[in-house]
Amino acid sequence: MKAKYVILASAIASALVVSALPAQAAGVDMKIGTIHPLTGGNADYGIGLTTAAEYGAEQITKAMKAAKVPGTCKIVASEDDQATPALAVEAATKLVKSNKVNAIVGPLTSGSTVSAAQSVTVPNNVVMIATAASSPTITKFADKDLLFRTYPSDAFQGKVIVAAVQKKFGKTVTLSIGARNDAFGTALANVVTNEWVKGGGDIGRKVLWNPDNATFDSEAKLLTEGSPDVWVIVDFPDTFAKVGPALVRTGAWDAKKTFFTEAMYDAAVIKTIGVDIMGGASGTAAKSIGIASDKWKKDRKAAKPATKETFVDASAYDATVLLCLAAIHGKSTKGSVISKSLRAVSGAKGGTNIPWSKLTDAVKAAAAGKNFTYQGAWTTAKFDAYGDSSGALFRVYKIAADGTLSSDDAEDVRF
Amino acid sequence: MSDFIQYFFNGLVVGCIFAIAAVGISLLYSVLRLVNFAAGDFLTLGAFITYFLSVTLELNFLLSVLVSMIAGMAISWFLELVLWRNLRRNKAGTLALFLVATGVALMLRPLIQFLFGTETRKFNIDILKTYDFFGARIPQTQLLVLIFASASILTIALFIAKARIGKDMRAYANNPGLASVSGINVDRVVIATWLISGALGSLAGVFQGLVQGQFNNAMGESLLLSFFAAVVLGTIGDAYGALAGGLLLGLIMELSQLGIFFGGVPSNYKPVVAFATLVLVLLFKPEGIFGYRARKV
Repeated sequence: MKAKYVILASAIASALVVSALPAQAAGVDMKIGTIHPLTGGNADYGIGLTTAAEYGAEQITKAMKAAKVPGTCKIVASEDDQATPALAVEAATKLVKSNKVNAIVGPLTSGSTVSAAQSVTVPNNVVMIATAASSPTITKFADKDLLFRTYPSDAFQGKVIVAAVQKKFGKTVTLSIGARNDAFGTALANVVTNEWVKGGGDIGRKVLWNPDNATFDSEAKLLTEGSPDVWVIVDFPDTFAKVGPALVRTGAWDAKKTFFTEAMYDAAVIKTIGVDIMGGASGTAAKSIGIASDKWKKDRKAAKPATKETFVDASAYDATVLLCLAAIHGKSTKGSVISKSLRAVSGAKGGTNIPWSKLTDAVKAAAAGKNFTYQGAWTTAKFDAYGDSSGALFRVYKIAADGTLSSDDAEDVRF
Repeated sequence: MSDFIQYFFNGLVVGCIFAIAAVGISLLYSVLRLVNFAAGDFLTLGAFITYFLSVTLELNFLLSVLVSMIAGMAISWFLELVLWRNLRRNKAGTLALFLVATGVALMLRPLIQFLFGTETRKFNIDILKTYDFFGARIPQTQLLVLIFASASILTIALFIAKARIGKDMRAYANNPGLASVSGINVDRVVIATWLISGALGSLAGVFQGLVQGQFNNAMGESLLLSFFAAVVLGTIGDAYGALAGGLLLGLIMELSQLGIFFGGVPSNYKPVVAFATLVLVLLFKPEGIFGYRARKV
């Protein structure tokens, strides 16, 4: 009988001890998949982002160990979508159905993001954080609050391009726009058009081209008709590698009077397309608003060297870390829980600032269920009601005749 | 006038490439009832082999193109011997053959990636040089493509019409049973069809690579739908029809942007124009522009 009481007392005591354990003990096994272009014209970006996501998963798992929070955060599969919506859907299906991931980091492009979200992640209640998708259409996409992004919307970039063009050429000149006919190209072309007209300028030609065209000579001819004073081109490297030569062949296009977007902000891309084609042009590109991003680049290079590195890699690192922190915070890998917790850990609900360099502290805070502001190497997301990250910083870059890229911090535009 | 010349020229160049690729697809369908879904990837393979020989190994460009065509023929022949012949012997239906062709395409893509990488490539040819022609600017590479493609189209047409094997192909396509009992060597006809298709695929790939200036491993598959549209427009299984269908499709797509057509159709609607034309033609002539003819191929 005595023994019975001893066992009962021990059981009650154990239960009390377990319930009184600090919240840090709660852990999760988070399985993440990535979708980026690992082959094709955008592979430079995709490889860098994928490696950065892997680095993020390794760092957060280390931090979980240090914080004595059980569980892991792993990248279980990295898929290649070649920046193609159809392949992004296939990749997302594989990740969700076969790899049973709890969340996805990527894709890179807006077209892939919308397709993968619409067909796969939203219907399956899986959270996705796009790493460089910038189309404004994503903002109000019906995503059941499951689609987020760490990259700023082109609603900002459109304004920056127009401001940069106005500064260099004046407000009343004629501007022609050439853009790829997809979610990214058409949306940004519309933003630029509206902003330019609002500023008092004229639009010459607006030419949208299908990336699958057999040739682009007719599009190039259309874009140069009417001798505009300046051009804005919204395209990806693999397509512009074909459009660019066609523009030069018209004899009426001038790279020095042309502005590109962030996709061309890469020395390797410029070299591939041709310095003789792109030399002298300008452009705008999102810039990190993260904390100590140069130090992050050094740390990442030392810990996980990538064959390709680009300016936007840290976006995937932050996306991975945020997803894991959200899972720990919500003590669940369910999409709806992660979605809610993403705001709690990204600063949307306030709380202490915790930089990426103090991940152990971030894990402890998440495990304790606290609201805090994760300050990433790319962004301090503070996800808004639409899942967009708040705030943005853009640089205005120039491509020298030898292909060298340069920008002046004084010209940066912050939102 | 210069605008018309420019768009007409652009259309001719695109049309020639469509025509050459489409005739290979059409020949295979007429002789073997095979919808070759791997045609786009043969095109990509041809461009990459030529790139490897002419840029990496620095061989003469024309020699590289020839070797690339021979490689296309060899691969097609090999696939006929180990795959297609056995499938036919096992009485595989059109759908089964189509699915196998899709499988071949899906295997060829990663193979091309593995062998040649995924970076954007270009031939060692000046892609920026142009010639003025009545106010139009004619790119050097496209002029070369137009000349060689026209010669190729003429050669194909003459080959099918005059050469013994060409006549055998037409006879077999028209009535396989009758052709077999009348002494036509069926195996020879089938192999000749594959060889021609393989060579034309490689050639179209080189032409497309030249016209685009730069190309990657997705080049062929992105154009596949246009090739099939050309085949259908010109009457499925009719080689002359495929040539005409390809040319017509290219011209319609590019000329639709001329200002005289409702101020010019926006360039992102070029495929819409092409396929609307296809639908219209099929509405009034369901068998394609060449219609049903007793003489097929």
